[in-house]
Amino acid sequence: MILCEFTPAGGGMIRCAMDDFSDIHLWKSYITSIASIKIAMPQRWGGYAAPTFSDISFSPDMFSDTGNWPPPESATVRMLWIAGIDETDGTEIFSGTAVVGDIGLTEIKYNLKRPDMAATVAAATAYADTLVAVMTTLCGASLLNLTIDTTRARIPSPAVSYTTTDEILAIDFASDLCACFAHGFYIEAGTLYLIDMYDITTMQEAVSEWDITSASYRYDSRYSTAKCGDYTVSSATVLNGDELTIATAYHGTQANIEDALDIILAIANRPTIELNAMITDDPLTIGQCYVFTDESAILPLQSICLASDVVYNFDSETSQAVGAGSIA
Amino acid sequence: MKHLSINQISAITASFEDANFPVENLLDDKPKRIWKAGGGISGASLSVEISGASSDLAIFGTNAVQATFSVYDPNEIEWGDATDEFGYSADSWANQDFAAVSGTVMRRENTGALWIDFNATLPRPAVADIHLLADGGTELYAGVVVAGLASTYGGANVRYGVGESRIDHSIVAELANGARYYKKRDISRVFSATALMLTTQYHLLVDTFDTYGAIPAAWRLIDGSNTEWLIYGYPAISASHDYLDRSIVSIQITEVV
Repeated sequence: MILCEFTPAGGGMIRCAMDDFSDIHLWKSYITSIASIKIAMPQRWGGYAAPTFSDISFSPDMFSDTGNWPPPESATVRMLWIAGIDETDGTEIFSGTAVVGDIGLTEIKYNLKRPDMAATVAAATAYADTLVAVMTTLCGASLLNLTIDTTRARIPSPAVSYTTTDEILAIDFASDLCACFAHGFYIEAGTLYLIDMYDITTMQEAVSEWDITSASYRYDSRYSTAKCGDYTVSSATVLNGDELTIATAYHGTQANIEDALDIILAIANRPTIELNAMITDDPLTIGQCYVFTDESAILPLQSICLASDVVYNFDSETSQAVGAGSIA
Repeated sequence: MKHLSINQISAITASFEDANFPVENLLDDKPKRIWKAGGGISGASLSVEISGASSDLAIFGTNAVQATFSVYDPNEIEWGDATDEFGYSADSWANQDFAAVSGTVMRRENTGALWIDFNATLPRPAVADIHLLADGGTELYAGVVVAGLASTYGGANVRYGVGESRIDHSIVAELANGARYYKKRDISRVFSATALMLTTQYHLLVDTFDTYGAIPAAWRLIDGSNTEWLIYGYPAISASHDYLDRSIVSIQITEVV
C-alpha cells in the first residue's frame, strides 16, 4: 500500500492512502489513482536508473476537508510503500514536490517533481582512475553528496581516463560514464548503488512461478558491430545486425575502448526477459538479477533477467521488470 | 425496516481520544476513518449532541462489545428526568451484550454495528451519552455515528427471503503456475429485499432517496421472521405499483467501506 504525506506550503501535513488505513496515524483514502512509476536505465547496459513519476490524483474532499480549497499550487510530497500494516516499516519511493495540474470535479491531479540534482562538474576536469574511484569522487559532498555502494561493481573496476570539455551536470556525467563501462546505478535513501550490468552470474535472486504472474522473452535488436569514434568491434555471433554507436569513450587507449565496446555489444545482443509480478513484501527491484525457471514452456526454460527497467503500478499493485539476460 | 437518512448530530465529544484519531472522524461517512480512545483504553464515553428530532442512533465500524446509554435534554426545560419522559427503562439497556440482544443489535466480524432505539421520538434537541466497552486489552474504536428521526414506513418490514451478496474489493491475480494471488482488501455486503407497502409510504421512501441519493445512511432491515441486518450503505430503489394502493418495492443496499 502507498502512504502519502502531502504538505501544502504553509499548511499542515495531510496523510492519505489508497484505502483508509490506520496504524499510528489515520491515513485517509484520498488518493484516487497513482500513475505508474518507472525506474529505468537509459540503456539496457547501464546509466542512471532515474525514477520517473508522472502524477498522483486526489479526491476533492481532501482539500475541502482540510481547509485547503482551492487545491494549493504545490506541496511537498513524500510517498512510502508498506507491505504490511506497520506505517513505520515503509520504503520511501518518492520525495519531492507536487504541482497541481488538472482540477476536476471528481479528482485533482498533481504532477510529481523530484528535486533537481544540480551539482555540476566543471569544464577541463580530468579523471584518471578506476570507475569505482571516479564514481566515489562524484558522490562526494560537493557534488552528488551520496554514499556509494560498490558491492556489485565489476572487479577489477575498468579504468577511466577523461577530461571534461564543458561544464556538465554531475548526474548526467555519471550516467553516461557508467553506461560506457556497462555499469548502471540507482539511488535509494541517499545511497548510490553501482551495478555491473555485464555480470549475470553472481548475486542472483531466484524467483519461481509462485512469485511471477507471467514472463516473456524476446530479442529486441541484433547488433553486429559497436562503434565509438575511430574504434569498432564486431560480434562473433551476430553477422548481419545493425551498428551500435557509442558517443563518448571515457578512455583514450584502444584496448580499453574496445573492451568496453565488446561488453556493451554483448549485452545489447542478449535476449530481453520481461517478468511480471504482483507487488509484495519483496517487490521486483531495479538492478536485481533474477533467475526464473519457466515450467509453462514446452520444456523448462531457465532465464536470467538483470533488471534495467522496472515499472510499478500501485493502482493494481502489479510490477514489471525488464532486462537483458540469458535463456537456456 | 427503518433508516436514518438525516443525520442530526451537531457535535460529538469523547471522554478519551487519540489525537491522531479524533472524535470528529465519527461524523464523516467513512466507517474506516475511525475514532480511537487512545492509550489502549477499552472503555470510553461518547457525548452526542442531537440538534433536531430523533428516535434512533446507530454506530458502525466499532469493536465495542457492550454499551450503555442515557439521553437527556441539554436545556433541562421539560425533561429533567429523561428516563421518564422518553418512556424507556434505563435498566433494560444497561450493560447489554450486543450478541445477546437478539434482533436489536448485531455484530459482524471487524465491522461491529450498534443500533439504539430510543423507544420514543424525541421532538427536540437532546444529548445521548453512550458508554462503549471493547474486549479487555483492546483499544476501543468506532467509525461512524448517525442519529436522527428514523423513517419507518408505517412499520413495514421487508419480505422473508432477503438476498445477501458481497463485493470483494481485494486484488486477485493468477500466478504463472495457475495458482491464485490474493491480497485481502475490504469486502462490502450487498442486501436486496422487497417490501409490500402503501404507495403513499413508497412515496416517502422515494422522496428520501431523491433527496439524498447515494449518500450513505444507516439502514435496519427487518424481515418477516424478525431477522435484522444493520447496514451503513447507499440504496438503489425500484418499485412496481401492482395494486390499487400498494406497491412492491425492491431495495438494494450496498455497504460502504
